[in-house]
Amino acid sequence: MSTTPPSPDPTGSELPGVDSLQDALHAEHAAVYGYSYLGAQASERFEEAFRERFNAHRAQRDAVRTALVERAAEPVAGAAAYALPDDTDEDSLVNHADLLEQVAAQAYLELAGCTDPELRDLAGRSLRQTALSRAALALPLGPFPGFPGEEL
Amino acid sequence: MRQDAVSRRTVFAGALVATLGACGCQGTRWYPHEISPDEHLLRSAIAEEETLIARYQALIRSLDEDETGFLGDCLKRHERHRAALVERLPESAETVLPTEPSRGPGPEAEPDEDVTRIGVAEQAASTNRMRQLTEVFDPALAQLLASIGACEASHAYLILGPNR
Repeated sequence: MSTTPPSPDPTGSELPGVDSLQDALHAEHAAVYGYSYLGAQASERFEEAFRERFNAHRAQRDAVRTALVERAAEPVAGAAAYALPDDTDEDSLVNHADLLEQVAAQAYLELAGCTDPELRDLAGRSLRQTALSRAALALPLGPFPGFPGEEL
Repeated sequence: MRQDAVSRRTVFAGALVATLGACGCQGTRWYPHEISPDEHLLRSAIAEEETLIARYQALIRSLDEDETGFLGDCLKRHERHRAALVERLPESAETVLPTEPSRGPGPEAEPDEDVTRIGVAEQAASTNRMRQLTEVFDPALAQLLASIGACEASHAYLILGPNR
């Protein structure tokens, strides 16, 4: 029988809510990367909206990262690159923004299911922000943002 | 002897406390908590949804048909919210007395309803969902409240614009 204690997990995933926070951070890394591309490709009509969303996701990424550090967990690093739209026409760019927001929304919905009220508050505010972003881009609104297809 | 007297007082005091304690649990002023904190909060959220639904219905009735498309969509989403919340009530809920009425207005519509007032009500509802989601015990209910609050915030944004 081994008496060796379990090795420490540098991601801190044994703590409640930390796995969900890491998922949210993954989504935010992808959103920051994606919106930097969308902003560079956007027509005048969407340039400002994409820039605002880039700044908002950068702030959300930092908030999630801080929450992880406060829980003694090591925040996951961003990937070198993320998927980008094949085309740069307006519809493709907006569709990609929709995808980024929906992925982030699902991550925050998952986080809202943890037991820590502080993390639930972060999740609620962030999920609301993704819904507002979709509204600002005139994307269709479903009754249950964050759930797949915004439906139960 | 003196020590014995103190000891006897202590015993009497203990007996008195025990008697009062028993009265506190079994007397006429005691009642059981038949409604859990989550159910209480759920009922409050349902009451708020019913108020919003009544206000949308009143506003839509007062407008021309070609002006109501967007508002009708908002109304349908609120009806979905209410249905999802009602579904979360425990099966025995119908046999339990209703909770105290919510502090907000009743399900009747405001007499001078207009779009801006509805937008402000959506903002308030969204803020309430954000608070409620940190208070419930059930994680699935917290997720539902977070989602509904996000939808209501979107309604407020679409009605009032980005600067409100």
